[in-house]
Amino acid sequence: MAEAMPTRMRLPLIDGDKSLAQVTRDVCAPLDRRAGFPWWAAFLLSFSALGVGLVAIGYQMVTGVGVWGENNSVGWAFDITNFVFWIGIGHAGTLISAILFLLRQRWRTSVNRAAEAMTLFAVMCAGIFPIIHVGRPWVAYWLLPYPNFRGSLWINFRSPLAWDAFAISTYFVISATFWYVGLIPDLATIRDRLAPGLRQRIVSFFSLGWDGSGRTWHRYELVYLLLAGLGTPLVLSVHTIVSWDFATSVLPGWHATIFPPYFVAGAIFSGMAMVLTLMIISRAVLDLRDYITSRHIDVMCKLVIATSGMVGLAYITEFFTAAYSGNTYEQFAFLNRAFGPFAWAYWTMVSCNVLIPQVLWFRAVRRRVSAVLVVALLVNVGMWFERFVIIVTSLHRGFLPASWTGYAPTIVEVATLVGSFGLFFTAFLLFCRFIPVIAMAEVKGAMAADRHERSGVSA
Amino acid sequence: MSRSLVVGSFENGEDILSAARAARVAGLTIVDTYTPYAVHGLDTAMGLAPSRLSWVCLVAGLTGAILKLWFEWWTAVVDWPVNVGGKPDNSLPAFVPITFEVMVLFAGLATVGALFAVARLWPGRRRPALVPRTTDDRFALVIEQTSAEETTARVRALFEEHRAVAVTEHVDEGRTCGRGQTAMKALNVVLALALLAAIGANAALDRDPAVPARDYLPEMAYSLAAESYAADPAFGSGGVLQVPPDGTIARGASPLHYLATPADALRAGLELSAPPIDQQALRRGATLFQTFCAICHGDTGVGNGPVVARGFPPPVSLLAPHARDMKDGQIFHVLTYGQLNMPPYASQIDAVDRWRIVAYVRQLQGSQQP
Ligand code: HEC
Repeated sequence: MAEAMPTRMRLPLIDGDKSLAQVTRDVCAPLDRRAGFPWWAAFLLSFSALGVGLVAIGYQMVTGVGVWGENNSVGWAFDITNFVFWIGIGHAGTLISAILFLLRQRWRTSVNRAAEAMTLFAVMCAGIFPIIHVGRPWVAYWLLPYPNFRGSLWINFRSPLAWDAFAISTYFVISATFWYVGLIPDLATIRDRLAPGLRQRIVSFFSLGWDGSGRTWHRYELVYLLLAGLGTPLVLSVHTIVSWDFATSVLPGWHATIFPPYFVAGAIFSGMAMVLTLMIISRAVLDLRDYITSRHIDVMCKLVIATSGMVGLAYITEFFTAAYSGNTYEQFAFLNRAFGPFAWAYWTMVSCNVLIPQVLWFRAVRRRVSAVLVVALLVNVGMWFERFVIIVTSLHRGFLPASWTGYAPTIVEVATLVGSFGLFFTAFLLFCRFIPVIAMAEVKGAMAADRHERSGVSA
Repeated sequence: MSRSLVVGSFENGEDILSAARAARVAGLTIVDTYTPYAVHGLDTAMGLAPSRLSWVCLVAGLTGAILKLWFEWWTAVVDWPVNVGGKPDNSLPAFVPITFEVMVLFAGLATVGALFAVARLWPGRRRPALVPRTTDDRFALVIEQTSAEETTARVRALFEEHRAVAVTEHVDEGRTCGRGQTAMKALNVVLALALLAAIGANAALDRDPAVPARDYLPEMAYSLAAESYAADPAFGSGGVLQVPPDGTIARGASPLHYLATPADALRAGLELSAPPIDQQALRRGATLFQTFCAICHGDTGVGNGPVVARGFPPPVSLLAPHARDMKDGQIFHVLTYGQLNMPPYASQIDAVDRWRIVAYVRQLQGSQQP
């Protein structure tokens, strides 16, 4: 049975031949220590960025969204770019937690907790933008169908924007549930090693009295599998629906059937890059190099290169479709992308997303963590520009040459983007301080299976 | 009811697995196991029946999907049908995405909720561990001790054979009310009081229906309308009504590229040809001719209109050979750009109507002799 497993990693899952108690100790170490200088420095920086964002959001709420650089032609720009960017980031978390779980990729256990947390924070960041974009954020709940005194006037269920509201909120709720369910056994572990006190009481509250009973594990494993099975189509649906926001319009550059797979691949691509960025930094800062080994980085790099290829293929397909369609508007939209006033954004996107990741074909590059970090950061930049290119270049020169315009973000929009990064990193840093970044119970289980399998093979 | 338990602690998953298998073979009652991670195969070794939670998932998912689909149909078809872009009220394919999302939401939450219910997990619950460190690195196998004294010895022997590191005996007093439960009861009381207080406060507050609800940031709801010809605050340059960009063409117009010269009139005669004209259009041409042209050219086109009677230099007869020999396009050019004493009509009569007048002029020429 064991030797039939096709996806077995040839090398041990984690380094250093740890005992179970050692795993607990290593993973909980950052929680036990007082926060050091790097953590405080990073926290203050992200928290100030968050503050900048809050001021900007307060200002634009009171003044109105007219303080943005948007105009009559370019009605979606920075806000929706940031929205799609953050939602995309989130997808890697669910890929790792759900899809790789179904595919029995054991290496995921070292990164899934952090990746899922990243998903949650990214979806929070994403949520900011459409909520401001609706103009009157304090009535954003009108997006939901609830009985009201206007009729009841119901929302239009045929609208992709309504689909979006449902998809994103379901995604957030299910991801949070998935994350929390995975966290319960680890919370119990922390509860049992903390000295009595406030922290112990809080952790104990959330650990739901978990005691590792075999009967509970038996049900828990099934529920985890079911959640993974639900999460997989869910994550694919979310970015598919986001892409429909564009694809169901008639605008050249948006109205394309390739959008759903193109967006999903791009989302996973950007998310993997963000996971790599976070993992590379936190394995160094939290001293978890034995758990997030260079082999983990290696497989993640391979996922990056695979998704980079898909994204590249989508870019080419778009051009092919435009050329083959014989539709002048479609052809113009793509020529304008590549050679128009926003050509610089287009070529930044192509180089960061398709050209630069090709260096990851070389094992020497994948082994150099610093090089991987640089590539991952550039991919993040590239994927941000991808959304910018799709949105702004399609809108700024539409069917009516009389309404052609340009677009440049205002300081308020930039400050909001900075604020979303602030929120993301503040949340992530707090997560690293108070919650084990590695799923201990899962790593222990995977280690046991791994050991069993390796001895089975050699025997 | 109290039962006495024998608990064996093990250091790794393989040991507890083999111990549990052996205990089953020996016919002992396994109460439970406590492990830091899900030991693969332990559930079968314990003889646990497959969990029925997947049914919860299926039923909840189907319920969510059906309810949502029904709700979308009911709002769009029954309660308030709204015509959106001419789509049918029952736009079933467009209802699919949200139905899917709600199905996943119901299935996921219900499954987790059912897990918490059957596994009796709730916030703040406390369960004292029989053996310490089972959430860290110890594995405990709990066996119920039946009446006979020798079972204990048998169990001990079995545990030790499978490398147990410790064997202890416990007495289970049945259910006791632990501190966690007391805390939960207290919490419930607090929540119930808070709810009562909220209901009471709501009832006590008197609401005056004459006082309008407060508007936050009203500019967003009641937008400021600017006057069409006022100076424009947003665009900086020009007025609220913007000047159309150069080369703007009105709806339905098709530009002509001619000059008001006789040479271009001849060219128009060669290049332009009349569109097909039916009886109705011809009647319209007659009306327009009476309105715009007869004043100079006269009702029949001979050039004796009322202004001529008052001294306006008489125009050439439209029934003369010169006018008869003109091409349709050339007449169209004359109407559009004028000719010497005749003013241009492009700004007053649109292109379609001008062609109708041309057709009427042709009819006049055909019906009368010079
Ligand atoms: C203000 C008086 C006036 C009105 C109104 C007027 N015309 Fe004329 N039209 C003239 C004069 C004067 C001439 C002769 C110009 C010249 O000497 O070439 C003329 C010439 C013409 C000619 C060219 C005849 C030729 O043999 O060169 C045509 C055709 C014609 N008019 C058609 C019309 C039609 C159709 C209308 C109604 C839309 C119209 N005109 C309205 C004054 C008028």
